[in-house]
Amino acid sequence: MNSEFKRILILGGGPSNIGHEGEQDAAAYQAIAVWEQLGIDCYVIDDNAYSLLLTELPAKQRIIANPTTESVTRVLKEQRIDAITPIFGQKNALKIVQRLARKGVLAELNVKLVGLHKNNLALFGTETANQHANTVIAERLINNQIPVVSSTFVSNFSELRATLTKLNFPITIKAVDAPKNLQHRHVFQNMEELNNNVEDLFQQSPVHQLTLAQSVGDYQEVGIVAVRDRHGNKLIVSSLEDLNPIKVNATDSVIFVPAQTLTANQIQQLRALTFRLLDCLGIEGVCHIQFAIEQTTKTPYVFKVNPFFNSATALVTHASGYPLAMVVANILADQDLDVMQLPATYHRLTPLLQPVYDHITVKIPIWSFDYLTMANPELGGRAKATGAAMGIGSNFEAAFMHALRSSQPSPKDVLPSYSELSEDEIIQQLLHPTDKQLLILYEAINRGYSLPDLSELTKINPALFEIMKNILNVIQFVRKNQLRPEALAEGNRYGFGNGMFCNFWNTSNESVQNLQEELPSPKTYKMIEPTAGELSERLPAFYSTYGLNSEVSQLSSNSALIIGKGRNHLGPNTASDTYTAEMLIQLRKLGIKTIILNNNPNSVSLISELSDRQYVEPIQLGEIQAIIAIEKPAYVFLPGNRHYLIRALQKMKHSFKLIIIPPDQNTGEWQVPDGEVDVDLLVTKADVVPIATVGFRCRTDCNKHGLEEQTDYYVPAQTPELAQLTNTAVAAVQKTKLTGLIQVVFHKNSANNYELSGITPLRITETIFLNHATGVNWIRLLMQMYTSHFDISDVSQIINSDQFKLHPLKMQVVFPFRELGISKDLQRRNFEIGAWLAVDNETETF
Amino acid sequence: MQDEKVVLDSMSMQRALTRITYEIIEKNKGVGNLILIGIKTRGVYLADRIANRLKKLENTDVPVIKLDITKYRDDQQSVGKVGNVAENTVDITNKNVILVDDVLYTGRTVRAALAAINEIGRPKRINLAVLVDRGHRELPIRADFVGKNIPSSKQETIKVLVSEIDNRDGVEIKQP
Amino acid sequence: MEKRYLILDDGTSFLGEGFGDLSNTTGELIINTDLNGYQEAITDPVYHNQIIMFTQPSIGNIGTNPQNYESIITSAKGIVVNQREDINQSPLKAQNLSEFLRERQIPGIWKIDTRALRQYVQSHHVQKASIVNTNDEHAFDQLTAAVLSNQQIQAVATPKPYLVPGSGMTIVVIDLGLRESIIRQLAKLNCNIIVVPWDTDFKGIISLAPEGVVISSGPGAPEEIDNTVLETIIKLQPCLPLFGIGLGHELIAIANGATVTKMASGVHGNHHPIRQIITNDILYADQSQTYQIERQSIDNNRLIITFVDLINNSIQGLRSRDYPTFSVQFSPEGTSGIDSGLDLFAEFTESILVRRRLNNNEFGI
Repeated sequence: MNSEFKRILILGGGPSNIGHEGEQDAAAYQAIAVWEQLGIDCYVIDDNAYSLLLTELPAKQRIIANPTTESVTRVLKEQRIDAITPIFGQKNALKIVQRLARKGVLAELNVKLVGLHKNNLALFGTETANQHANTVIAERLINNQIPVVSSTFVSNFSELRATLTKLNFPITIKAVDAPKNLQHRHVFQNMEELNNNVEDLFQQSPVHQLTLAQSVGDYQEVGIVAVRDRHGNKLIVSSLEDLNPIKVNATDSVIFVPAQTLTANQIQQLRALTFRLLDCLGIEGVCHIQFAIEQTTKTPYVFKVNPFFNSATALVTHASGYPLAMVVANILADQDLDVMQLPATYHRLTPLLQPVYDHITVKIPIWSFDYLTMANPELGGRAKATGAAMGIGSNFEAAFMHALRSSQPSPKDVLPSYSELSEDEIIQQLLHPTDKQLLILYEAINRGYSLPDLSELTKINPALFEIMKNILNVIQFVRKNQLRPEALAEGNRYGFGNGMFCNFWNTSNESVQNLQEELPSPKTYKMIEPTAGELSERLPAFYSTYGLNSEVSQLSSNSALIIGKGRNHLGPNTASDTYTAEMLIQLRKLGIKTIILNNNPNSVSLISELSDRQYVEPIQLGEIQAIIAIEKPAYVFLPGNRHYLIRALQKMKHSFKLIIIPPDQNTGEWQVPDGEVDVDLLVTKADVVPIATVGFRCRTDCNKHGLEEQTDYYVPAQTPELAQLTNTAVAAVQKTKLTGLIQVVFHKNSANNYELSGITPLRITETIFLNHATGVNWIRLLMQMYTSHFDISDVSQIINSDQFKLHPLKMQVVFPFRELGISKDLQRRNFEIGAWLAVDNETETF
Repeated sequence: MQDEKVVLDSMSMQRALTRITYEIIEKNKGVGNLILIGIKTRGVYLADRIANRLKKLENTDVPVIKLDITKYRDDQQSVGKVGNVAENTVDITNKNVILVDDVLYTGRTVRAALAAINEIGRPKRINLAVLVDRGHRELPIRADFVGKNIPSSKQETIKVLVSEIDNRDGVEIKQP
Repeated sequence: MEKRYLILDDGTSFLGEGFGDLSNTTGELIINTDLNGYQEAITDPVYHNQIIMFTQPSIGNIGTNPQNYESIITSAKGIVVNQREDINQSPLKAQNLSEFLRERQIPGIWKIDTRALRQYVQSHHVQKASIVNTNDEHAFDQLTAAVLSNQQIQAVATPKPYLVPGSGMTIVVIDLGLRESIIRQLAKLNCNIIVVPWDTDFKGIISLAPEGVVISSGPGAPEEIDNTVLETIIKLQPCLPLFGIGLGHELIAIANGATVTKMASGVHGNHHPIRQIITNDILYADQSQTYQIERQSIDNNRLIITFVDLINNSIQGLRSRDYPTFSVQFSPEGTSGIDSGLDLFAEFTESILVRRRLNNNEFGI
């Protein structure tokens, strides 16, 4: 069966930021693999510097540009595109296709809209006419007996009074078309509060209109991810339950997959509502629906419909093993659920089998308030998390502990304590949760707060406190039973890490490791698959538990274990995830089997297509040692900032080659921490090959020369002394022992002459920039070097070929300042959250 | 604006067609000798759907004849158009015919259809299947297979919607 | 911590810890894959005499609640879980899972690697299992010798008829161990429901003047059931619309000449895609199936296959060619229900309305 389109344009999601890491890029990468198989050419337009697609697609199919109505129209025409999809590009992509549809561009160019039906496009409001779209979708849902949190417009006090009789406090009010700074929703707890403010609100609205709605802030939040094909076949992929009520943004809430505290009746109700919603909105493909559940009557209301890939779809994909992106790509290419062909590792009927799990997944958000101390850490309606970590376990407690350990910064796997906080501080934190919420809750339970009281204060389901209490009881038991095997076994069962035992017992990692080896039931690995063991799936993802049999054995004697980056906080994290993904791709091309350890649900590097095996585990010493014991890899790749792990693994007696991924902060030499231009070179023991010169710019103030403040990059560098700088760089590098991709940085001294600032391994962000600027994949050459597959003549050939040239390009760091509501004069490299790329026309004419 | 009320939603409509199909099998002891005749326009779509269902269950193609009865109606003036009453040429002699229409009302449409069928052949037996029977019969005609009986006043309009031409399935009553 | 064993009839044993009731128990081992609804399963009469192993890893998160019962008499002989949670979520007189099991004398065993157990059971065709204190030879001897009761229906079905009054049509439900939700569904359609004991004969049923008869689901092997039920079905078929569910479906198949065999591994969950043949639609419904109808045994002149499980190809629905009789293997009424809008109870009552119209020779309405 052939699809209706042959050339599809994918609208990218732009640079990573709060609430958006690599998950859309990951889903698009998986979808493209399916579409290519079906003979469809895939094009992408994006300006996300760290998009894997912009590295992996053939050059003519990737368009480096900010997706706008104009740029997209141009690409549609130039490339003779016959289909377009917004489902991998967040709201911006949706907005663009809405405009293109409205202007008649899609119809005129005969471009098929894929992922949403053209008749339903207007339902999903993202434009300023937001209010209107919300009303339209609400009306459609209400007509189909689907309860929604709907809002009512009122223009005067008599209408206001009439509406108030239908609502219960608390309610929310928003002034229609108010100036941007006054646009938020006001929550009123009672009539008095409302009376005192409502007049002002009417004044704020130029059209003298308010929208009123029931406040659902304290309602429980539950999500459903479902798919539907064009014949109306549909299934629920998973439910997700938020720890926090609606008033905390889902991005900032701990999430359990599948839902853990709903009754069978409630789940059934959500299933029925979901199916009706998919039908009445004509969804084809994927949909994530967010429900608000009233706590006393347990009535569910739809409050958000997301017909695209997002972090919820990424999470359920990893939690279930259900090949969501692959299935959706097939659906969109007109392959129905019962006929689509998946790779042989899946059972023929996997797309149709409603996923059932025998494990639980917990996602914990990661915030970066420790870096950005000026940001307000209180959690609320606006998302603030910069990343997430997930834990998978064969019981709720273990899943929780795996996630908690993965979310904490301790290199030694120890949980921080808040025992010194005063009662007042605890209560404040309970009422107004911050990034410390989980550990504060532990502390409160530990101090003996009654669980019903806690539930009242936090609006969190008491069942979850019981789970935490179980964990605390086990901690007590472990503490009391120093170095006892039964205490170790009990801690293991509940997902504790070796570092925690070391801390509880004040002993060394070796003694815990030795005790582990003596236990009758050792660590076992179970496959993450969607049938709870019913069908014989051969999927490559695993998590650990302590059970009877392990489902993994050594993959290959020629394998590489890549330790992923894990949680994303501020800094070049999406960049390093893409870099990791690229390492996996290149190592595999060298015939090496690849194994990744990671736990970031939004990462590209963890998708099953990119590696031969995935472990979803905390990235801690005990876990790494256990995996090494099974896999006996030939290579282990470690991120350069995991100093404790690096030291511990170096100490270990090992047969593998340990490779530290740059920047390895122990190498490099600096004279001055300033810089304006650098020379990038490929260095081996015998040769030095200059590749390119890159210019730096400080965006806020041209007089700042500190390297940290140079957040714009451009090629070619705009100085007349390039040849001379390159010669200096080559000479300087030859004096060091550094090999690999090396950066030699220069600054201008007081005499306005270039002077050497330092020599260091090229940072990850700049390596990716260099790939884009030269059209050469330097990570491939690095991997060749690390694994003794390198031939310097290949490099000389590339550099000296006629095709080799620098593409004028600019990369600018993106900061989350607006999102976190803080001032913008902090533009420094270590506050980066993403970066965008642009073809630099200015420099071209230079 | 006229008040429109959905009396049969898409799901119930599907279910009614499914049940009628099963009843046809039960009553005819198989589908070997069966021919469906749909009265234009919506009766044809309903007949097609019944035929599809029969095909799924029995793996047999039951022919569907599209019947245009305009010139046989006694309540309309003939426009004098000359043409075939049936588009398909299938021999209906000695066949069990199921006549399919959307709404059964006065019975005059069915009478006209019977007259038209008379012109194309002589079947063994004719049964009538309708999605909606709304009463007010003026002729001695009754349906053998009925999706739903809907009591209605003569002032109301009953409209059957089929997704093939109306974009959705359902039955609606319009108040005058 | 009470060490206990789950022992299987092929001689293997799994070490775990006891909870709930701590007596020894023996039953048929079945695997339930529901992600929610452990309490419904434990109280489902279909699981009479069976030990239920849950693949869902943490059981007990929402405690227990009287609203979630499928029947008042609890049926399961034991439960096997990975992690038990003793959480009591409902403030009013609800119990946590351990209390619930203790009060109903149902033994539980936890800290079992349920995934490994499932994989083992699937490849070794285990039938019976016990939860015991010691896994010695004696325990295995007892397990091997244990004959599971074939009087399961008698144990769970009503001994006396009772009425659930309604203003609509009168429906007789033959109780083979029914779930409360069947009654709830019929009541929703305003039916006047008379539930009769499993062995009520044709005359007894006709004397109640019903317009349709439901033959309920229930536990155990259809071939072991007294012939009374089959005779009743054969006599009722030409007279009244019949609707069979689960065990009732299997009996209708047998009454129409088909044979039923035990499945290598049963299906207890709601995740299998089921195809409705007539529309080609795919739906999901609660299944608790241990027996299946042999495909070759079906006489195409008497029965039409209406639903099929796409995973194991088992027959999930049948319809008589000659009579207004239809049946389904899955639960059209279960708590997880059917999501596709398919409503077999409505189909059943609608077919009764059609008959009413035809019999009364009514014109129009």
